[in-house]
Amino acid sequence: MAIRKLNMMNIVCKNECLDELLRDLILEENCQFIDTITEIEESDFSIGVTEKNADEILDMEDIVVLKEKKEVAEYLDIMDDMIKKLDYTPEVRREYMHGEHKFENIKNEIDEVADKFKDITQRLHGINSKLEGLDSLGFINKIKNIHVDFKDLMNLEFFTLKFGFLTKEKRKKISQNYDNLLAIVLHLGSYEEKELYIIVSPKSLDLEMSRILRSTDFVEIEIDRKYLSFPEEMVKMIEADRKKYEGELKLLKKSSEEYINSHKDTIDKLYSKIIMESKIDNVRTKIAATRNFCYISTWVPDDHKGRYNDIFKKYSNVLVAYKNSEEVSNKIPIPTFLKNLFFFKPFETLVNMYGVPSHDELDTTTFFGLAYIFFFGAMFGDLGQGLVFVGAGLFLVKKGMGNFGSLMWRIGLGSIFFGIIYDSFFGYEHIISKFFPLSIYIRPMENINSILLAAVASGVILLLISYGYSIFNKVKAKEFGEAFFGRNGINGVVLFLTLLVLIYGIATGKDVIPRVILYLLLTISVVLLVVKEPLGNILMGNRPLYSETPGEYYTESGFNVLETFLSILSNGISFIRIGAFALNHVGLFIAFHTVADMIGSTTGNISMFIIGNVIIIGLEGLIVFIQGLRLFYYELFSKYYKGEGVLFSPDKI
Amino acid sequence: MSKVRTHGAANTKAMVIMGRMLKSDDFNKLTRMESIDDFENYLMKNTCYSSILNDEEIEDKEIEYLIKSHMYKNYEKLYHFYIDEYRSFFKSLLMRYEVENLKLMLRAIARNEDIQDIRERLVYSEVFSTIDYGKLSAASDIGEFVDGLKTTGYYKAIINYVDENSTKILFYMEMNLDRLYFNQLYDAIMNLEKLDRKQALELYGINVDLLNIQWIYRGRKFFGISSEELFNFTINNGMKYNYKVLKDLCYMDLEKFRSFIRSSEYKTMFQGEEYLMERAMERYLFENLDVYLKSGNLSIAIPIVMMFKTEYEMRDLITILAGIRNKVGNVEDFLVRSLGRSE
Repeated sequence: MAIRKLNMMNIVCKNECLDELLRDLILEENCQFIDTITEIEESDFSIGVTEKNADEILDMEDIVVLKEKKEVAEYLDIMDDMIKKLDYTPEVRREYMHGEHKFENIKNEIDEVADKFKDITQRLHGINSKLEGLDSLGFINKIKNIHVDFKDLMNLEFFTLKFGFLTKEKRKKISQNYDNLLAIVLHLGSYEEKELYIIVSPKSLDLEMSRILRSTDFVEIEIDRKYLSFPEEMVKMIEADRKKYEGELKLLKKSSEEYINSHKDTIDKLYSKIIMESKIDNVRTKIAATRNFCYISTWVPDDHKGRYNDIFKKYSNVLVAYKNSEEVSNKIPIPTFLKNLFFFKPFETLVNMYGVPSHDELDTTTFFGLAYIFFFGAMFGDLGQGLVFVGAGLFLVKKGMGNFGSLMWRIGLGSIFFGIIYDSFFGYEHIISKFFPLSIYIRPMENINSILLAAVASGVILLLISYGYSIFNKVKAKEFGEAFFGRNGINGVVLFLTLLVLIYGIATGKDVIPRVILYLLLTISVVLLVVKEPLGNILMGNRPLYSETPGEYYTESGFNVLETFLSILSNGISFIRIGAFALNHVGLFIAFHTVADMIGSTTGNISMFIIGNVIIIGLEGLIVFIQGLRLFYYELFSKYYKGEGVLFSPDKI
Repeated sequence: MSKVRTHGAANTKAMVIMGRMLKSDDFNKLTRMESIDDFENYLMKNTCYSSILNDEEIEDKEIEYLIKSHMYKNYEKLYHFYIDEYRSFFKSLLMRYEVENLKLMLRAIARNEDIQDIRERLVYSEVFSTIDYGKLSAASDIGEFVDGLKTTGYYKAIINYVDENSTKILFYMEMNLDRLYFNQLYDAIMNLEKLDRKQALELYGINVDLLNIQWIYRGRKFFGISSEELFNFTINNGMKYNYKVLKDLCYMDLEKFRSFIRSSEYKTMFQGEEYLMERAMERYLFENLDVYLKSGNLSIAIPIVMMFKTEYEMRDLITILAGIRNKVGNVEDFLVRSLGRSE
């Protein structure tokens, strides 16, 4: 089964070994920690009461939830800040995280390293901020042609000059109020998508003006006094300084790189450790504790139980208890742990897109995967194009887009299979059969009716499988009313099959089963559909019979019957699209082929061949991909799949 | 046809929600209640609040929380009926509550109060919220608080003021948060369809006018803010008052200001006591809402009106609660709605 069992693991340990234990469990990458306090409040936290562990239970009265250590985040920030300034990306490695280390020690080590690098980081930061300061003076380039000495301007006796940025909105406000403002506000131009202004106001009004400017979001640019001169001169000075600083920066970076390299190990180790600490800190907020003991609750896969024993052996005084997921309070949601065969794993993404299966639902991934490959292949059957899909998929997997890539090559296999059956190679039929003259080929355009019929027939089979899933899920969830009499239950199957046989009989004139029996079955089935709720409740001994007033119930179930008939019809017919797209696929290429014939030349032929295939693979490939999903989500999933679960996501680095 | 598609469902839903609202009669009865228990019982037995006030013992403080969350639930119901531009419009509209919450938390930090305490009492909707309340409430000073907003649009609006001196910092930050809200809402309105845009702009404009009047008057009278600053903080795109009028208002002396407003359609603002100005403003809006219900067939107006009404209902209920608690005799004077004094 593709949904694996999870167990709740309850642990009691001494406060002092909590960090260590959490680190070991996180590194196992198979624990999903939950709020212990919820579990305790549900009186669910289970540690067997014996004399031996009386201590652990004794002071559970004054239990509290652990808080985050603010310091951890602080130190992570110090580290991040440092490596950012050094422009270095440390390697995070698991082996550095193992072993005994206390946060207090890590703190000291970080302080030490930060201290060692303090000189370099400060100098780097100093130069970088100087360069940034120069960047903000870039606007002077815009006024290069003005021949006024800024030194004089900035040192005016009765006026203050300010440069800075204003938002458009506030600039408007200012211009609307010009008549009342004792200032000149000049637009210098746009600079890096911001509006640059120069503001001149009397010195006697400095205080008022600064308040007014404050209310307009004015961002002033400070100009270092040493640059004040004619703009042209200023630009030169600034450029010279920039060159100087950049040279310094280069030298400094070189020497810092050497220094970093000689300390690479230390930084990597420390960084890995502090990342681990921050993860532990994250988990810590879910742990409950008393003065002496900590209480941990975590979901673990059933088959992992044994593995933890080695970990627990390391610590004295650790109590561990396991519970089945059924024994856990229903206020705590049980996550779903999906584990599928390698071949079907990528299809989990598509199933989860609709919804994650509940922990007690049948996982449908394998069925989905097989049927989806069938859908895609049947609608997009072509040996050559299938090979392209497989190739592209494998390429994507290599390039790191694993999930989509592996999906792609799997559905490409479907294309190849049907491509052989359809005798189609990059749109050209009769090529495969020329080399391998067998009698297995069915070319869609030559067998339109059988292709469409086969499509509906395959739909009927898939629908029957869906009914099977539906019945199984409902019985498992103890919804017997629905399972036996519901439209997606056994009653639904009977109705579906009866209608099929009836239609077959009417269409061909050959009655497999006498009509009378069929009509009788139909009537019984409809009646059962109408009364399924009260009937189910009577059989189960539940009261009240109706969850609403009987009037409302029967009106609703009347419509329900109507809808059932409609949906049986539409579900079945919907599968025609498999055949239709198979035809469409050939048709589209015929169109390109015709265009190529009209062009007549070899170049035209080749270019049409390439364009045609590219368009078909890109556009039709996408359409078929979506149609396949649509068939599944609407026609099949709606029958049996709820997808209301939550994925099991273990805490890990 | 497209009007039906955009508004059909939402308008129906909004009408249903309004149909379930408390009537004047309910308010008349509630204002006469003498204890919180009676108040609670009445709401539980006779109104749509029964769904949230179930039988379990409710603590005094909790009831306000429940009433507020009832309001958000109504908003959320509406939200799901809209998509695209309309949805972002509602999102912008609801940004106001987020801004209010941010302001409350900012004030708490500035006064060195425990922000955690405030957080527990803040009501907000998970559906619309873009801010991480957990992270914000862990902040110990304004710098950290602003840092916690880094990923949101609020950051840019207030980061410039982090180093402002402590007496002014709140003022600037609050003003800029408000401004951000109004700008965003205006932009969102401009993206709506023609008719909806017109109606939404009207409602927006009236609101803006009233807020500007209040701002100028109070800034002048109580805080001695300079005319230029007053003008710089006025909100654009009012309904009746363009920038020219606003500018005149900012430079008018108070007596003239009062008489100007008294001779305008917003005269009710200065009819009552000064301390009731805010209530006067809300009452003006409240009483003008029904006009939109009559004219606004299948439009954005109905959901907006519903939101206003829901909010005013929430406020009135909370006012009454405060009245009962503090034994205020004339609590009906403080309500947004005016109650006909039926005996």
